Order: sequence, then C-alpha cells, then structure tokens
Amino acid sequence: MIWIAGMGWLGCGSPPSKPPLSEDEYFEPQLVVASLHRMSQAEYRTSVRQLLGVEITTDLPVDLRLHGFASVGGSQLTIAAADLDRYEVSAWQIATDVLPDAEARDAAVGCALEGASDPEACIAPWAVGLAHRAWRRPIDEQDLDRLVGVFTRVQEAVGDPTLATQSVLATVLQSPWFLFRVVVGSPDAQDPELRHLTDHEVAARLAALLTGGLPDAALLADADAGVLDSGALEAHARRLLDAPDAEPAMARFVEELMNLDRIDELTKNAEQFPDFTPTLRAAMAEEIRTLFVDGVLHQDADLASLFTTDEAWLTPELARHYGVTSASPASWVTLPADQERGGLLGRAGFLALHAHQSSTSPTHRGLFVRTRLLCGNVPPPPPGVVTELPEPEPGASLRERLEVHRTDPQCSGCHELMDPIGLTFEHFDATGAWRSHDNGVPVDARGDLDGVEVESVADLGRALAEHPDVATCLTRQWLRHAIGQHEGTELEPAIAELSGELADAGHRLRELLVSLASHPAFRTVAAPVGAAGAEGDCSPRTALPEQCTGFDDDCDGVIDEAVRVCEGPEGPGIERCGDAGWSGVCVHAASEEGQ
Amino acid sequence: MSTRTGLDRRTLLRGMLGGAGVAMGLPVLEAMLNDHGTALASGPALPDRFGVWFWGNGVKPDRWIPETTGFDYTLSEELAPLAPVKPWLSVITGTQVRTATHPHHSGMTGILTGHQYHQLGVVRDTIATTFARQSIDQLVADMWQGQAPFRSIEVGITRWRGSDEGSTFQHVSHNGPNDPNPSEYSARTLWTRLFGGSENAEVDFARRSVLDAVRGDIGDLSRRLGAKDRQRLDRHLTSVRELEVRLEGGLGQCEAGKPAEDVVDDTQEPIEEKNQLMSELLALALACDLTRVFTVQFSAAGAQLVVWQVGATDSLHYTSHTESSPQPLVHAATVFTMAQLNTFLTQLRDTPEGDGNLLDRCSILCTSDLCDGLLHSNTEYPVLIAGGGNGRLRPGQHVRLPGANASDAVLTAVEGAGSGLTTFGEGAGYADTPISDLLA
Repeated sequence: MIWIAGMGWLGCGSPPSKPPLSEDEYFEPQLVVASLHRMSQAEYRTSVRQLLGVEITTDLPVDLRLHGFASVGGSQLTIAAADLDRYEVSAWQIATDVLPDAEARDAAVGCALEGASDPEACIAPWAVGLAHRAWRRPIDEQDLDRLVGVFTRVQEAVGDPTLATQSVLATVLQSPWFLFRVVVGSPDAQDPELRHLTDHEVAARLAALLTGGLPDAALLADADAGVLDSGALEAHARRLLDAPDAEPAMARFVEELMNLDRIDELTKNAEQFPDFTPTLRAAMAEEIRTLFVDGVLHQDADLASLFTTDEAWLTPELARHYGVTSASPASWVTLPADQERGGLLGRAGFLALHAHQSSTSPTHRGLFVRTRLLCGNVPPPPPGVVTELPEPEPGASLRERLEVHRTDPQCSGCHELMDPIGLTFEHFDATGAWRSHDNGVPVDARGDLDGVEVESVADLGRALAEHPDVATCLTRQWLRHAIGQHEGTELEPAIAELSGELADAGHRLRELLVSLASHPAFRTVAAPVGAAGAEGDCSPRTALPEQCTGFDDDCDGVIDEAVRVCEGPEGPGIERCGDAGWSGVCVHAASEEGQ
Repeated sequence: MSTRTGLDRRTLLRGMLGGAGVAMGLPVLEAMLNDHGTALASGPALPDRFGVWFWGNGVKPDRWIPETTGFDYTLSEELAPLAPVKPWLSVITGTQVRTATHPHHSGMTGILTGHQYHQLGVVRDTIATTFARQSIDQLVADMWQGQAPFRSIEVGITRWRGSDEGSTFQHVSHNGPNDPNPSEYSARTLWTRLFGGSENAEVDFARRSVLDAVRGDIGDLSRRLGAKDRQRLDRHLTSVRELEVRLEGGLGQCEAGKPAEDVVDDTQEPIEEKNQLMSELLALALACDLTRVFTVQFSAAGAQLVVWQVGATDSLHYTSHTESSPQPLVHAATVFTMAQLNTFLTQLRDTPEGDGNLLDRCSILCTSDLCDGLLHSNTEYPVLIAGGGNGRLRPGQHVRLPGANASDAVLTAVEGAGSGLTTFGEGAGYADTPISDLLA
C-alpha cells in the first residue's frame, strides 16, 4: 500500500503549505553520519549462533526498515526501555543455555573454576577471547577489568561460579559494543570531514554484509594484524561469499528488496482463494529467496538470467499453484512456457505481495518496478483527492477501470509511471496464479517500460535487464544495505563507478559485492557532527579501541593498555602490550598462581 | 527468596480473566483505604493514569458525529458500541489538526505531538517520516517519572503489516525522532515483562551487576561518538537505569498467576480475542500500579488490518479508497473498532479500585491518524477522552467545537489526567486552552 499510505511532500497536485518546522528541522538532510548501527534481529541471531553455536528463540527488538532496509533503520534506532528488556531476557537466556551447569561452564572457559585459587585468571582469557569476537575489536585492560569484575562481584556475593560466569557472558551480550556495530573511523590526514574505517570496523561491516553476522576467525585475524587493504578485502569477500552463512545473508537482502519479510502477514480473500494457505505463502517466499541466492552465489548469475529464467524451486503445493508438479519436499522445476512468467517478477510471492486481498494491483506492481528496481521517484496521491475507482461493471476488466488513472490529468502524471508497467502482470491474479480472463474478459497484458512495448512478464524481464537504470538502482540499493544509510549526493560518483564495474563484469551480481567490499565508499564515512576526541595529545588518532601501537588510540590518557589471548604451555592466557609491541609473556591461571 | 518490597498491595483475585489463564491482581485492599475509599489510608490519593488508545484510518464522520450535544446527547451509530461506558466518555467533534500537511503521517504526529512530522531524506524513492517531538504519552511520563515501576507500557493489538515509511507508520509512542517505544504484540512476552521477573535474589544481584558493567561500557563508547550518536546512547543508558530501578525496587506488587498464552494467529486474524487478552493484561498492569502511562495501538497509521469479522476481504485502508459511498464496510469496521475500544474500557470499569473503578482514575485519549480515510481529511478529527480523570474530568457529554484546534482536546485529556502539563504543541498546533466544559 505504499502509494496510498505514502505521504510525500511532492504531491501530484498543489504543494502543501510550508511546514512550521525550519527546513533543517523538517528534513533530516542526510542519514550518513551514524556511528552506531544497531543489529537487526537477523544479525543478532546469526551473530549469537556464530559466537556460541546456539539458536535463540526469545523475542528481540523489532527492526525499523527505512528506505527499504533494516540496516538503514538500525543506524537510526536507539535502545528504548522495551528493547532493552528484550535484550536482557535474551542475553540471560543465552547465558543459561550455553552455560547451564558446572560441566558446561568449565568446558567453555577451559579450566576448573570450582575451588580454583585464582578463578579470575582462569576466566580472563575466555572473557577476552569472547569479547574480542563479539565486539569485533581489540580488547584492553579496562574491558578485561570490567568483565572479570562482574565475575568477581557475583562470585563473592553469591558464591556460584556458574552464575558468575553466566554474568560475564550476559555482559558481553548486553554491551553496546555487541548490540551496535560501531563505526567511528580514523580521521583522514588531509580532509577533516572524512574518516577511514579501521580494519576492525571494515571487517565487521564486511561480515555483516556477506554473512549477516560477525567476522570469522580469518577475517578478525587480518584485522588484528592490520592488513585489510583492498586486495585483502576482495579476497575475503570472495571467500565469505562461499561460506555457508552467505546464503541466509543473501536471502535477507532479497527479502527486504522484494518485501518478502511481509509474506507471513499476507492474507487473501478466503472465499475467493481458499488454497492460499500459510504453507503456500511460505513456499512462495522460499522460492524467490532460493532463486536469487542460488543464482547469485552458485550460478554467478547476471541480471538478465535473474529476470528471465524459467527455473523454479517449488514445493508440491506451490507447483500445483503454477500448474506443474514437483517432488517433495521441494525441487527445481521448469515453469510452463506459455505463462511467460520469466524470472523474479513472474513468481507468485512477488505477485501476491503486490496485490490486494481480492484483486490484482497493476499500480502496486508497477510502483515496485518503478521505485525499487529503477529507483524512480513516484509522488503520493495529492491530499483531498478521491481515490475510488469506478464500480466494476459486468464485462469491464481492471485495465478498463484503471483508464481513469490515465485520462484524469490529476492522476495521469504519476500513474503513467506505474500502470503501464503493472498492467504487464495482469495474467496473474492476487495470489500469483495464472488467469486467462479478468471479470469475463480475456486478459490484455500489454504493457510499456519507458517506451519499450512488452507483452508478457518474461518480456518485461528482458526489457528490464537491458534498462540502464536497473544495474545502477540495484547498486544503489546494495550500497544502502551495506553501509546502513540512505546515500547522500556525495555517493553518486561511487554508485556510478560501482555500476560501471558491474557492467564490466557482465552484470554478474556476485562481482558487485566483491567490488563493493573494496570500494572507498564502503571503507569511509563522513566525520560525525560534534565528534568527541579531536583534542589534546590524542589528535588525530582519536577515539578508537586501544591497540598495541604506541599510541593512546582510545584517548583515555593511557598508552597501549591492550590485551589479547595467548596460548601458553599450560593453556590459554593473557598477553599484555609492552613497549609498542606485544610483550610475548603469556600469563595464565597456573603461572599467576605461582607468582 | 524475594526481593520485593511494597507488598502492601499484593494479593490475588483469580478467575477474572476467564479462559485466558491469567490471575487478576487486586490492587488496593479495602483495609488499605481511608474510610471514604477515596485514597490510601496512608495519605496519597489513588493514582492518576493517562493513556492513548489509537486506531488507524479514522471514521466516517457523518455516522460518527452525534446529532446533539451536552449530557443528553445520543450516541451516533459508530459510537453506539461504547454505550456501556457512555458515562465515562467525553466526545469531542469538529476540531482539526492544524499542523497537518499530508494525511496519516502528519495527522498522526499532529494529534500526538501538536507538531509537524520529520521527514527523512530529501533525495528519495521512498517516503519515510518520524516524530519530530515526544508523543503526548511520553510528555506525561516525564511529569510522572518515578511514580511506578514502568515509566510507560506500550501494547499493540492487530498485526503490524509492514511498511518502510518510517517509525511514524510503525509506532505510536515516541521519545523523539527515530526513537520509538515499540508496542508489545505478544501477550506472553508482555506478561513475562510485567510479572515474570526473577524472584531469586542471587540472580537479580547478578543482573544488576551486569547492568552496572553495561553502564560503564555505554559511558566509554559515548566518549568516542558524535553528538547525535551520544544522544542515542543516552537513551540506551536511560533504559538501563529504568531496569536497574525496577530490579532494586522489586519487579512488581502483584502476582499474576500463569503466564498469558498468545492466541493462534496465522490466517484470519482473531482480533477480538487478541484485544480481549491485551485489554485484560493492561488493566492488570494498571490495577497493580506497575505503570501509570500507556498506549494501545489497536491498528497502525493507515490501518492495513482486514476486518473480516464485518465481511471485509481487503485491508481497511484499501477499502476506504475503493468502496463506493456511503462505504458500508468502512463504517462497519469503525463500529467494530469502537466495540474493541469498549472491551478495553469496560475491563477498566469492571476493575474496582477504592470507591470506584480503574476507569474513574484514567484519562485516555482515543484518536486516529485522520478523519476520513477516503478523503485523507484532517478536519472533523475523531477525538474521545475516556475516564473520570480521578475527578478532574466531567465525562458523559458531547462537545462540538467546529474549527477548533484539536490540540485543545489533547490538552484537556492531559490536564484531566492531572499531569501538570498546561500547554501542548507548537506553532499552529499550540494549545493552552483546554476545553473548560470537560473539566471539573
């Protein structure tokens, strides 16, 4: 319902009166300065699984999809009271699931806590390793003190080392360093408005984009070593695109791009469409996800094949919906040629989502193509306009009823941007099933894409694959998703460059992600307004996590208080930073005991 | 072991919630009241409460506005379901949201903040807005900070069907731009949040220790950020403190029996059942004095719900744009919505407190994101105030104020609640004159 619900400022009719807010206040000029990216629900779940190997079932704070993507909303959201309560419940649920008893606890931390003479030294390497991975950054003495401090406080008050260990894990999971991906960047030597993401920050961004979670061991190790130049990023991108977690991450991108995340809420007129069941709609979403994920990740598909392929991943129920058969539980099937469905846009999930409960909506389907695939701008209907269509008369198709959109000058300016595209889909009803007739009239599915006449969805797919705006738009969408921001005008050159690279790569989308990962637009950020730090001896290396470099990276007056996990002869321990380099001394429980 | 304090109001009244499996906390024992039943024997008056009950897509004004005014008015067709609570109802018609430029978004923010919305992004292929200011429930919550364990509670009833038009379309309650207080749609999760807190002192100690460390992390991180992100972390910190205070003070003063179970909801939405369950839970939270401020998002701005119960097969929004006048389905859906409001209000009315009931203590602003969905109009705004405002309101009447500022009605609701607020809104939406006829 975007076009009806959407209230833009640029109506088709007369402009609204000037708002009482100042221009600056009324428009957020750009959303490009956020340093905190709150994880989406999916990112949180994936990160927890990658970190601890558990699947969680607790409710998490709801996402806010802005400009299409939860990542854009995540760069704006805070943690309200109700959100915090959900995070707290989740953290403790995870902590008790992962560390249910003394046995699991000792196995996790790697030493026996019961009766240990120095339980803190036992806990420390585990806590540092955990936080390092979960917080996607180096760990310093202060972090270590705080985490071990929680253990000590609970242990001393309660005398329950399991609860005390759970508390450390619950702290790691409730820390803003986990809940937010933090992008502060380090200032550019020349340009005060520009910051470069640190290796850890770019690693976190890359992992979130490609695997939907945390950097894995190899990526984190390269960030620790400070070797993530564009070549290394490209190599990691190619590697991560082959990782198992790339599939769900890719699936989430297409879910958001095509609104598939709303399919669970989708209902249809039950009398008219008794076969529209929860399992059918789930299969519809899965079909599109699989088509996109398999195409991009495994077939190295180009744009044209995504918009034109006849292959479909179908459950038997969904296959019946298309008039074909499929093996249980699901298999690849070729769709009937005479329906001319083509690729992504001819699939039932898209068609059902962009339709009403009882009827199709050429306007919604056309709006999707115009805004989401071509990144065109369609103003909302002007205020006060009567949006009723003429009552259906016997023998009048929806195409005929929509004529008013194209003849009434108040409507036609905008509807010409949508309806001629959307009418191409008229062979597919509100659930995406084939129909030859609409209201007793043979369907006329002729349409038009910016002057190119099309006669079927497959035709439209071919025209889209050749439309110059599609590759640029998809690049734009992916960049938004990747950086969690609605691009400002300063990113236009980057979008042009990246879509040029995409064209050079034969429009293979996998290559777009590789280009994106190593592009400066992915690795830089505008300096935030009112930035902390830039003063005193810390400048210009402000406000970064402390590393072992000889600088006061975190600007706290202490140089090189970084710590890391090391492997000593008697097990894992803590290594401290020495004179601008790691000390080489691995302190662990047993050795500290002897000191 | 229990860390609870303030057990003076803790008791149980089982069975009030029928099949829902929730036991009802009886808020105030007779023994704890003064001889007149008007205040606690220990002195303070019975608590004031303020709420917002919001539904999307307005009404059909010609069937909403009662024909006569004053105390002797007759309920209109669309208000008829509220007959059981008519003595507690103030009906205000004729007002307009003066800050509205475009419907839904600006009507929503206009009525709830007295102000324009905040549009995100100049360059766009999608429209997205958020609230520029705190919503009215949070303004009241600021005034009443610290009076109850939960600063405010937000619940949602009908499924939220998705939109990427920004937080205005997703949430009623806002602390500021992109800073919503999300509604809880799961009765089970809400029950757990309200009543399911640990009673184990050792675990609660550990939880507090963790939150203490998290506060330290927030402080460290905040130093590194720009002004806007520091504000975002300030909210995080505030949320941590709120939970800490609850853990210090004990999580509640009532026991609530078995956890609530959510209604199965996978095809035709069981709206009445969900509304009944949430209404009971919220009444319980109020009766237990767990919060004094609440919002109910019956349906979101734009109203994408399908009211199949009245024969609709399409979303209310779509129907409001396509059905021929006089739009019988839209009208029926409005009647249905008011019946759901009645369910909540009668639940409050039937929850005794002192010499009266919960509804006597409440002032509840009931409103929508526009007047008539077909026209996207912002005149003839639908506004009700439900409750007695602890004696501050003079309910039971219809007040007609053609062309008046809708913010006056909002100000009346919050003055009637005893919030201490004396103005509301800004610019064209500014109000400092409540509707005097409605105040005692």
